[in-house]
Amino acid sequence: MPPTTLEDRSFTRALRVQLGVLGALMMRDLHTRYGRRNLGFLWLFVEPAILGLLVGTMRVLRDRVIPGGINVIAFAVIGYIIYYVFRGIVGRAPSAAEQNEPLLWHARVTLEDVMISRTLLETAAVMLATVVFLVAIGLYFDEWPTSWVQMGVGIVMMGLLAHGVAMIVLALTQFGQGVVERITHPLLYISIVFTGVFYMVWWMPYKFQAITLLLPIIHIFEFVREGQFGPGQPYHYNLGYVWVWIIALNVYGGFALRRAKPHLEV
Amino acid sequence: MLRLTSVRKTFVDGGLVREVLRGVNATFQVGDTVGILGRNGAGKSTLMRILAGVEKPSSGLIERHMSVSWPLGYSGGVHPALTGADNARFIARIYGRPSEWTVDFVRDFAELDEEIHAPVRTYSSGMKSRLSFALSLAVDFDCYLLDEITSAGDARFNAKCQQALLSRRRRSALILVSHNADTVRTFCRYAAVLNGGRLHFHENMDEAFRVYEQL
Repeated sequence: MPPTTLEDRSFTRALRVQLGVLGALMMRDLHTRYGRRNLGFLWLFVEPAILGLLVGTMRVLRDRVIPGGINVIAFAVIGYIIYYVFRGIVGRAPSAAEQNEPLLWHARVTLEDVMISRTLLETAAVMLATVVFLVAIGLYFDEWPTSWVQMGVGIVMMGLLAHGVAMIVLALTQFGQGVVERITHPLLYISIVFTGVFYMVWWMPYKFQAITLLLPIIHIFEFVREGQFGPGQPYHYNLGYVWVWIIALNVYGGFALRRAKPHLEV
Repeated sequence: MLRLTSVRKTFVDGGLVREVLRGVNATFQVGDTVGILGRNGAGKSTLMRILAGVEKPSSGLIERHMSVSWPLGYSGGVHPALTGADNARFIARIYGRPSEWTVDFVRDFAELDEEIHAPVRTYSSGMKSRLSFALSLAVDFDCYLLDEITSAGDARFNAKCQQALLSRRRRSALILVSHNADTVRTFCRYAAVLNGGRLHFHENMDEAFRVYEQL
């Protein structure tokens, strides 16, 4: 039996423990969420593919093109799958405490760890799916992204933004998990309409553009699309504005979760 | 060593303040085997969670100079949706043990055989107790917290637990919560009674039971 070094309180050990906990939580999530045998992981690919093809077919049947002459399937599929980061992280937040309650009995596992591991997994899964779709689109239409890096940075920012919102949502479940769940899920569905999943800011009438740009998530979609379609389209984003939101939401969310924890971990 | 100094725990339930622990003082050393007796709702589980570091006390000091297990019971620490093997891998990862070695050890010690690949929610309470106990042995803690775990096992497994604990008596402490007098007598050298939010130690086991029975 290898020796245990549980009493070593050094920083490197703390880091090793932290990484071990995050890795363990991610594996646990992989197993229960995507499953070993079922098609959970495949669904991540199937749903955007079906949706993208439906939207694409509809467009082609009606007026063949979307503003700016962008490939409609590339536009819909990638927009929708990137939205998955936000929907996945925020939508699963209300059940985070309940689903992991037995694991919180280990003093080393905290709700913060649960949230971080979920954000990492969700972002990585979407990143992988995005690459697969981009390669498929590239091979089929011979249209490749202008900047893979820019798209990747955008997806990471989406994950960070969602992480802050998710912590706030989880903190709110102290007032009743059911209520928060019932409010969050419809809001997430409605948000597909106005968060830029299926449109770009310049398609909007000028007076609405300023209003839509109040939402940081729209900036991220614009930024990712610039990476995907390159110059030739007008893009509207301000990364500084997004980062302010990301930091504010995460700081507030961190405090809110900390205060709510005694009510969540029972 | 694990030391509690004036540990208090207060819960607020819908405006109602409940003082569960009102100043608990205790010191546990390696080699100690202590049974904690207390009526339902006396705060035994809360005390265990505080000892494990899962819950923070409202006030007071905890010095933890040994690794302490999670409170071992039928539930808690083990995820019902995961298989026994996946739970073993999870615990191996968070406590920095080799994964496959842990799975093998747990399968053998808990006598789960192929059931180790079934989700824990399909286990009987006896199987769950065996799994929890085997997992904690695989981690090799300095202090074990047992919350009624032994009452679910059969006599043969209890004997096995007892032997495992005895063999590590020199390097491990044991803190056990039970309603069952026989369990406490088998596993522990002395006992403490939790009553009115305070913990009273008794060197003499019979005296502890006398006090407990008069509550």
